[in-house]
Amino acid sequence: MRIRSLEAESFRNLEPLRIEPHERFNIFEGLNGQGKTNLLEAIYLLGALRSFRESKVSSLVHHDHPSAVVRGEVELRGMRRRLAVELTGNARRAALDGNVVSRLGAYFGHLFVVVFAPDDLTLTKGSAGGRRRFVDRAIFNVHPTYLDETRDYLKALKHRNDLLRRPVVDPELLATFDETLIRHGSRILQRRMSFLDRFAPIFQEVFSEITGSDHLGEMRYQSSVMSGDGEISRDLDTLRDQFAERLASKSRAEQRRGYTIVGPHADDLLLELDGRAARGHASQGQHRAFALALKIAELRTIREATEIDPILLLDDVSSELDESRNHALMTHLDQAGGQVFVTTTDRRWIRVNGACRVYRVEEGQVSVSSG
Amino acid sequence: MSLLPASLERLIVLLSRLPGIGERTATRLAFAALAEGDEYLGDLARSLDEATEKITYCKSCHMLAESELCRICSDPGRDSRVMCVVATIPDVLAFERSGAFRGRYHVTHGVLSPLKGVGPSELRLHNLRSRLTEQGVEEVILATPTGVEGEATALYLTRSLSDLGLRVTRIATGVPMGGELEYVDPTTLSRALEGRVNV
Ligand SMILES: Nc1ncnc2c1ncn2[C@@H]1O[C@H](COP(=O)(O)OP(=O)(O)OP(=O)(O)O)[C@@H](O)[C@H]1O
Ligand SMILES: [Mg+2]
Ligand SMILES: [Zn+2]
Repeated sequence: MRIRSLEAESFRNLEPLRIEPHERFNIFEGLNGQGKTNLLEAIYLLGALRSFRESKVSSLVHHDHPSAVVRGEVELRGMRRRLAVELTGNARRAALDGNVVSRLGAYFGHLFVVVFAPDDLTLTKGSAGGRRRFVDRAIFNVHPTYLDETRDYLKALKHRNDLLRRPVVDPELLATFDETLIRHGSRILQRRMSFLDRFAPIFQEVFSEITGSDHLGEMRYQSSVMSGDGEISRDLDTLRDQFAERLASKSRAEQRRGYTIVGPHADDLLLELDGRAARGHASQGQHRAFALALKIAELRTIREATEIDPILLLDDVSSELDESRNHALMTHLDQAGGQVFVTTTDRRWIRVNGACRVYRVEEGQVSVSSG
Repeated sequence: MSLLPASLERLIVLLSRLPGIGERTATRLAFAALAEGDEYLGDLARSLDEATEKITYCKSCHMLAESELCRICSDPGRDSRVMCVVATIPDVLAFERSGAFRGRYHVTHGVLSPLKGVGPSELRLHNLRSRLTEQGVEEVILATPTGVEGEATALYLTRSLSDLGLRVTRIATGVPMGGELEYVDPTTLSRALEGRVNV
C-alpha cells in the first residue's frame, strides 16, 4: 500500500500542500510547532476520517477558513484510488474516486494507517481505556465494520445505563436492553478475542526481539464478562450465554450502582513482564519496550491478516526512545518494508538504511530538502 | 428580518420548523407562495384548514385516516391473518408501493429509546395485543428499523407477545437489488451474511 500523492488545503496550519511521497521513507524535519504532526494527522484523516489526537473534527480546519480538504491517491495491489475528505465545521464528507459516499462506513478499507506517537509510550502505564482503544483501533484497521459495531454497542450501553439509573423500571424493558447489550457486546468480544489470538504470539516474539530475550512480555485479556480465570468462548452462541450468565449474576450490583459493570467497555488488556503486571513493576525503559512491541506487532498482524503493508506514521518517537530501543525500531523499519512517514526535530535520529526523501516543515510550509 | 411584515415573518418561522427546511429555504418558500397570487394562497389556506379538520389517526392501526378507521383497516379485501408492525407512516407507504404485502399494519410512531425518554407507553402499543387476538392474526411481521433502537423494539415486541402463541417474524436485512456487491457498505454486507438462509 502506498500513497502516491497527497494534497491538503486549509488543514490546521498547513499551507496549501501537494507532495508525491517516496515509496519507502519520508522524513519531515522541523522545529517545534511548525506543522509536522499536522501533516501526519492529515494522512491519518484520509484513512480513518478522524484525528489520532484527542481532537474534534472542527479543530482540524484552519482557524481562518470555513472548511478544509485532504486528497490523496492511494495504490493498492496495482489499483489506484482517489480518496478525498472535506471538513466543514464538525461535518465530514468523504469521496472515493470522485463519488461522495452516502454512509461514511462505506469509505473505509482503502487506506490502512497505523500511527505511533509519544502518547503511545504510556500505553502500559496509563488507563485501561487507552489499551482498549489500542486494541479497537487495530481491529478496525483489519475490519472496517468494527467501527459500526462498537458504536452500536456504546448506544446499547447508554440506553441500558439510563434504565439502571431509574428508581423503578419496567422489567420487560430492562430485559430487552439486557439482551441488546449482550448481542452487541458479544460481537465486540468475539472480534477482540480473534484479534488477540493472532496478535498475542506476535507481540511476544517482537518483545523478545526488542529486549534481546532477557525478558518475557506477555498479554492477557481480562474480561468483566468472566469470573476468575474463566476462558471466553470463541463461539458466538456460547459467548452470549456466558455474557448473559454473568450479567444476571451482577444484576443487583448494577442496579445499586446505576450503571453497567459487565461488558467489553469494562475490560482490560493486561501486560505482564516476567509474569508480573507491567503496570506497577516495569521500569521506564521497559514500558517503552512494551509500547514499541505493541506497535510493531500491530503492523505485523495487519500484514499477516491482509497481506498489505499499512502506512506507518511515526510522530517524533525517536527522541523519546533510548539508543537501543531506537535502534530496534530502525532495524524493524528497514526489515519491514512499506511506506513510512516520520517526523523529527533532528533527522540524525532517523537512521534507516532504506531510500528516503527528506522534507522541511516550516510555519506550515512543506518543501523537499533532499531525496 | 425586521423589514418584513409580522404576518410574513410568522409564516417563515412556521415553515422553518419543518425538517430539512432552514430559515433561508423557508423565506424562499414564503416569497414563492406570495408570488403565486391570491388564488393559490386561498387554496393553500383551505387545504391546510381541511387537513387540520379532517386528518386524524386510525383508531386501530394509527395510520393517517379521514375517519375512525383508515382505508387499509376498513378494506375487507386485506388479509387479516398477517400484521406488519412498522415505526412510521412513511414505512407503511413504502410497503404499499412495493405491493408485496396484503395484510394489515400497526404503526408504533417511534422506537424504544430510554435515552430520549421513549418507553413502551410512549409508543402506540396499547391496542396491539387486543388487535392481534381479536382479529385472529396468525403472524406478526416486525419491520421496525435496523438500528440499535429499532432492533431493541423488535426484541421487546417478540418478548412481550411470546405468550400469544403467534408466529413472530422479523424482516430480513441485506443487499439491495441490482447492486454490485463491491458498492454495498461492509456493515450491510456483514449483516446480510449473518442473516443468510438455506436455499
Ligand atoms: N486549526 C488550526 N488552524 C491554524 N493553526 C493551527 C490549527 N491547529 C493547530 N495549529 C497550529 O499548528 C501548530 C502546531 O503544529 P504541529 O502540532 O504539527 O507542530 P509540530 O511541528 O508537530 O511541533 P512539535 O515538534 O512541537 O510536535 C501550532 O503553531 C498551532 O498553533
Ligand atoms: Mg508534533
Ligand atoms: Zn388503520
